[in-house]
Amino acid sequence: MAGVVLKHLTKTFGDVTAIDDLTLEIADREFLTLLGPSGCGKTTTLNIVAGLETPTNGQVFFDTENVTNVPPERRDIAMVFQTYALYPHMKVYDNIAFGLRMRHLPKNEIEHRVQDGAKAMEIEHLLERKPRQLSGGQRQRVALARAIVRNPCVFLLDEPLSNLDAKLRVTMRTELKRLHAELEKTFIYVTHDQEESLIMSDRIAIINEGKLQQLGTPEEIYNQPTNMFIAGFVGSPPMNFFQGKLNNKNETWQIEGANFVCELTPEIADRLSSNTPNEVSLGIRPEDIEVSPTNKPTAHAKVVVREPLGSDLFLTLDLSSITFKARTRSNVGFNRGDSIPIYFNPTKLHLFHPTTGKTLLQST
Amino acid sequence: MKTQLKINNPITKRLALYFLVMLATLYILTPFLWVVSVSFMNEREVTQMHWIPHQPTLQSYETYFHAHTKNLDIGTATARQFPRAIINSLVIASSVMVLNLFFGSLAAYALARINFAGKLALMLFYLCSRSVPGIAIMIPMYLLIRSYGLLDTHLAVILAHVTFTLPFTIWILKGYFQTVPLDLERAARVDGCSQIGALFRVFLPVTTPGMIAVGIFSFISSWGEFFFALLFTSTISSKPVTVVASDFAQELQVDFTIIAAGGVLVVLLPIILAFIFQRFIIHGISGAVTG
Repeated sequence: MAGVVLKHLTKTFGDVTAIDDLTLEIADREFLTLLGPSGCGKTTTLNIVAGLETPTNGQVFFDTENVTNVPPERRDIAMVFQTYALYPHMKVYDNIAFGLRMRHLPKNEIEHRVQDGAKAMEIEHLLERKPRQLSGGQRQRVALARAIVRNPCVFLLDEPLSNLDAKLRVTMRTELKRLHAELEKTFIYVTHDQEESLIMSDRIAIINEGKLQQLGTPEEIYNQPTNMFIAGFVGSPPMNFFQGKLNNKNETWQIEGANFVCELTPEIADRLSSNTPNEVSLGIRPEDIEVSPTNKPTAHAKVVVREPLGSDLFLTLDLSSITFKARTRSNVGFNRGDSIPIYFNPTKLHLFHPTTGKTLLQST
Repeated sequence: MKTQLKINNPITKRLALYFLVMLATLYILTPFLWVVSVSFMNEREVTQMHWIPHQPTLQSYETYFHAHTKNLDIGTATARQFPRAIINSLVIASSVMVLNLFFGSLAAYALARINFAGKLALMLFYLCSRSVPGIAIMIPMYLLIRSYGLLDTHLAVILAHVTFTLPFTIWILKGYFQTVPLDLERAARVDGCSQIGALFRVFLPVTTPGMIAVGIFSFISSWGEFFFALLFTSTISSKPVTVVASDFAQELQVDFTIIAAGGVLVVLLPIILAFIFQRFIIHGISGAVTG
């Protein structure tokens, strides 16, 4: 069993607060991703879990054991680094065996584990090479093998895919998910790639400026973001935002923006918090904006840019000098400069406070 | 048809650069090449002023290693001391190299990796100490060495040489160590090493090129140093080869071929070392500069 609990973690570097009162519980065998922009504190958090940094305040627990002051060499963890951190002066075999030798395992046990780990990562043919003789993908596999053979309770992965090309990244994502399912261990994964986090995680903890923004499943994060930062960070292309006035006409709530009006469904209206202001920020994802709808259009917008992407077409649209994106099918024949009808799917609207950015919708 | 020399042509620029480098190299090497040539001549040929010996001989070199059997009375006393002087230089330079590597690497690691109070002041202190001329501190150093009863010992010269080589070693190694990714030591810590263990098992082996570079530098610096060696030594029990070579000036008459052979013997080992380890020297120094 190896759940990880972070209690009121704070880390400061001089005047800079890297982590600000972070409390997080990671269940045993869970794949949890720390997601956020560069410099948000996610790697610092991972380093504290690893014991490579000590927190200014707060505690780290592995299950019920307080490991806050336990050095990394005595924590039951394995770590995969963004740069892979393979020892350049050692062969692949010795890189993988290093951690086992440090723990004084018998030679035959080391041999057995290294061969098993190499087989699992399909790198048996590389054991006699040095790291400089390997490709990026091969180095990544060696780094993973080095972690696997340790058989730790917790795996820590610090953006391990960020140095790979796009195609290899997709392959390795699947590989990591398979590994997690097979090993049945706790994975704590750090990334700034929101797509990666949505695909791979059981839960995602979004961090910004050292603070936990939201903790939830990928579906919860994507469909019920708790603030504008999360709504804009998760999703590609990001969510569109419009300023509007909330009013009630004929017992129907609607949002009135510049050159558009859209009604809220009763389900969304019921979720409005009691202190919802009149001015709101309306959020809607590109895939929830219908182009050439069968319903009555919400507005007419001008096509500024067409971005074909295989089966999809992304349109950058202009509505009274507000620029936003819509996603549609690639066979739609709109050109730059065309004025086209658009429809905001009312079941997919998000409302945020215009000043604080927090969601105005209570969660379901 | 006029042929214009295109100044901006890359080939022309490269040729000009090579020409200038050759000139500079010849300027530096010519005196030394003359000394090497003279060392293989007999006494009569020296005055004939030609570059290549017509009757090359190893007689001058033999003087140093069989001086006690030769009935030579020109430069014999000095030549007889050469083998012992070379051993002294080896002992001193090797000790300086080892001390530089040990203390220099630990200090550089602390400066490169650890934040502590006074770090910047310490770095500036090392840097400024390099600008103090030896002659300005020779009297207090002499008095200090004498007070410890270390005059005319290897240790006196070693301490003096470490004093002026260690700051340079620390400075170069600090820059080099900063080019080593922090993740390597972190990986070693996670794999089970203590901080010291990560230093010796992973960090220092990775920094071998830089360590070799500063090791060779400190060795060559110590080997070729004359001033403090002259100041602190008086007998052949501790005199290094640079001091013994200068004793030729005290001889009433000298055979130039013997002096030339002595000069070649003095610089031979540093040249061989620099040639063998040139790749590490370039890699180590460039890593420190770009880091």
